[in-house]
Amino acid sequence: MSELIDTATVLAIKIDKYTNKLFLFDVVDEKYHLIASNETQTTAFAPFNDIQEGIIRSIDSLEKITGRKLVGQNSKLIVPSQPDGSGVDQLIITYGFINHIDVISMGILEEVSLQSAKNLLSMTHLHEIDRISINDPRKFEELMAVFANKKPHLLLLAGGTEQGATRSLSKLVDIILFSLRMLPSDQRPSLIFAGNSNLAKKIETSFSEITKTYIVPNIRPSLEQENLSPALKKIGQITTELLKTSIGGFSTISSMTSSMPIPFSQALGIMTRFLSKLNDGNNTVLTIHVDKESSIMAACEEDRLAINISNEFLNTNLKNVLTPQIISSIQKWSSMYISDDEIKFKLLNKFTQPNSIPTTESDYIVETSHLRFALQTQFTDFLSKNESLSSIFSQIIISGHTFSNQLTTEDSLLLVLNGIQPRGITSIFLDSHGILPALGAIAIENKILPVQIMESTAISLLARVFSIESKARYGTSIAKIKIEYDDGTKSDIVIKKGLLTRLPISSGQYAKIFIQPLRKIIVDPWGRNLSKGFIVQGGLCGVIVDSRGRPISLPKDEARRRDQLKKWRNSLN
Amino acid sequence: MFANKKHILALTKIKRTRTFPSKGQVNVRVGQKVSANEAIGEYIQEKEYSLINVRKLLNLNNNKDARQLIKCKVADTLQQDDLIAESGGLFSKTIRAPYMSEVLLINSSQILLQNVSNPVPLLAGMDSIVVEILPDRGAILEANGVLIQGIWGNQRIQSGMLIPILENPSHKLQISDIDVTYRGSILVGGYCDDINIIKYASELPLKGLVLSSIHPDLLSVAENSEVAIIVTDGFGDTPMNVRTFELLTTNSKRDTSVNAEYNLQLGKIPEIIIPLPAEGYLPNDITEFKPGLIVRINHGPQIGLMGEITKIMDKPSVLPHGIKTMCALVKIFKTGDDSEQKEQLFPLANIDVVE
Repeated sequence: MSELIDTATVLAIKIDKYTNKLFLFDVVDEKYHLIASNETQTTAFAPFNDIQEGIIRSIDSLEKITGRKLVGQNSKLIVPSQPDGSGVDQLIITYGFINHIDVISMGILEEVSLQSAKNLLSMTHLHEIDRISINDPRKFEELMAVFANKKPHLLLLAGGTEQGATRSLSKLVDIILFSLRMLPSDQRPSLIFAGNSNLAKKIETSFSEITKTYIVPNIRPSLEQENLSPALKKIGQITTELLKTSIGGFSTISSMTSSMPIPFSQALGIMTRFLSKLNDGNNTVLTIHVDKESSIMAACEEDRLAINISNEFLNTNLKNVLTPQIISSIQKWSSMYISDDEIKFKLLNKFTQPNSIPTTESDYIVETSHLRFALQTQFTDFLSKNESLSSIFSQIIISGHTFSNQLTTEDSLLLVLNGIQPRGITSIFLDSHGILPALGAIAIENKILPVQIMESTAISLLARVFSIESKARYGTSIAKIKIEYDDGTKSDIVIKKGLLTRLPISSGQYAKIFIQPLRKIIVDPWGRNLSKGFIVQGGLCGVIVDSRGRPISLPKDEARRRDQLKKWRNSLN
Repeated sequence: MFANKKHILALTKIKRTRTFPSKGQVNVRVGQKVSANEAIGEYIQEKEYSLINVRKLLNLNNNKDARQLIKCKVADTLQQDDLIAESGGLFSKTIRAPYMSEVLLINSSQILLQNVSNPVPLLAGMDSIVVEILPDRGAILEANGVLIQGIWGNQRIQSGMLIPILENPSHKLQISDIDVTYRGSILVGGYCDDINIIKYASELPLKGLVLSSIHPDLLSVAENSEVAIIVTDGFGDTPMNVRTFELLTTNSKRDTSVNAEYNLQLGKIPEIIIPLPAEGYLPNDITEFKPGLIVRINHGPQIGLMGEITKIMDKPSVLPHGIKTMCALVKIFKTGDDSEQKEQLFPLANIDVVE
């Protein structure tokens, strides 16, 4: 309770290139509640060039909504709260600004230390602009030019297993030392050393006079082992420090926070790990955060956390928008005929106006089909980079601007079902406020608040989904589902192959369901005994049985395919 | 809520800061008149280094001997083929500068040179006057006149006489519309879906091409063209917004600058500037949505249409496919085909304030 009293009022700021989202929490009846939230445009870039303008506007709106005074006469946030009830006790920031910081990774071998560096960077908001190995074919002078021309903010140096040789790494160190010395002191990138710890002292001594130098535990201590977590945490801190100098107002706002601002990916990772530990730690959890800036996926299974960040398809250059693969995928997953030219027009117009909202059915279909393609591509890449990770998740939580502002709840669910194609039995949750990263950032200092907010309605069950796989032909009856309601009434539903079926269980309603196979089917890929039935709760989209198989195959005939896609969409409504 | 802004102005003061991406040399002075495609300075775009090992190249036994033969010193600027080191004797060996370069470092018998032979010009981007010099960084330029911002450009900068050849905002540009007498001018067409038009414009050559819209398949060719190409309204068959149409057609034959530099991530917007002999005011870059503002629709089937905001809705409105978002009622201006003004609901995200 004392923690509650010390930090009763918490203001969390979630900021990226496009939006500020503010969440105000307070204790009501000895429990944290989300009191109000507000979203405005970010003012980090021209013509404002200062994030404070947008944040103060958001706080103004929160003051109007709640009737509380949060800002003092000096136009600064009141921290901590005052006896008259004004101000907040704790200010927390989590941020996006994906690819705002450029990094060059360096390592000994492409497939060992540099691969680990690549894996590490794919979990961060950093933009990898070059990669240098000991076998790099470029001449010394050309490597020097890389540092001078590409102007990285950061160098990540990895290499050398623990107790391994140090000579090769020393050669790389000499190249960096020489190159950095040739740069004006204000243009020298900071260095993170994440290699053989036997060289750490030497590195620190050699570089600390030239540039900011950070030593982290070896990310590849042995050929078989990878240790990314300590470096990941440190990179989060360094990214925050670099943003303080490159984004107007970030330093001032950060100085008011009780803990250092952390990137969305790190915050999402914290929440994903936390959720996976619930229910006796048997949860395999996937969180997906998609907004205008990027798409972040985080998965946790038995305390193993994996994160993947992509902005390849959301904010990319014009040529990448129009690849034949993207056009044909959109065409294939569109429930109405839209010509290739129309798809190109719509994608490019969206690209030049990323904030725009589809107003016609065809615009909406193109955008959702494009999102599906992006999500599926990222998920495939995510699984391939994390082979030890299970592809079966008991919980999927979707969060971010795209799900809360650009799609209906039914289409959000359909996007996950078509893009991720979850297997087994999955509870899919919708974070309609996009609050998850904010909770992750708060959790560093205040573990109670996220727990209590997760128990509230801030995050809603979208649907419980049973994916039934079978080799039967389309339309064949493959299972019978018996539903027993709380009031004793019962109903039976026959599930046919190739359909999405919404069971008659409304939002919030509990029921027990029994799945009786009529053909050979797989409901739970783990092969657990399902004969005792399941107690299920209906989500916003009820309880869904997805009998389309995995991977989902679409009819080759265009008319049938569109008809099928329409039926699937309609069956969720 | 801050409004998306698009400047389409008949008379305004245009102030632009043009800076080098790295340290450069400014070659203009305050008060100097510059044209759009005139260099205001130059800089080295891609640094290139050469490391010269004198001992190795002259086949010497030790560094001390090599050092004594070096004829240049740190910070010297060498012309191509200038002598760097010479062995002497009957069969003298020499080392010469591979290009115009600066000696950055001499360490032991090694010399580090930086290539300074190919500086890249930084163009003014608009016919204007230099009002401030930023030493080693660039200059601030100012002009008065018409300012029209587009939605896409091919990164080129040019200036020339403005020739509007479109008959109405929905005009589709044909290759037959382009006459050889237009050589060196800035042509204003409409929608372009013919790759031969872009090729012909390059062959003629035109200085610039202003299009209401372009077919996406033409982007690669347009990007590689030396002609400065600006798209004002969209991709696909999109008519030109009426204000741009009126401003361009009423300023026929005026000298015009086309700065087609475009980078959405960096906030670079392509611009058409027609200098006028009158004094304008600096436009306001920050506006909040309110009734009475003139707007341009930036998305959907009505892209490019203009109108006036009559009401900002208090609560989010539900769009036909179920999305809830903040909207405004906009009275769309009459076009040739319509007999009356229509009032329609548009998401705030889908309208640009035009001022």
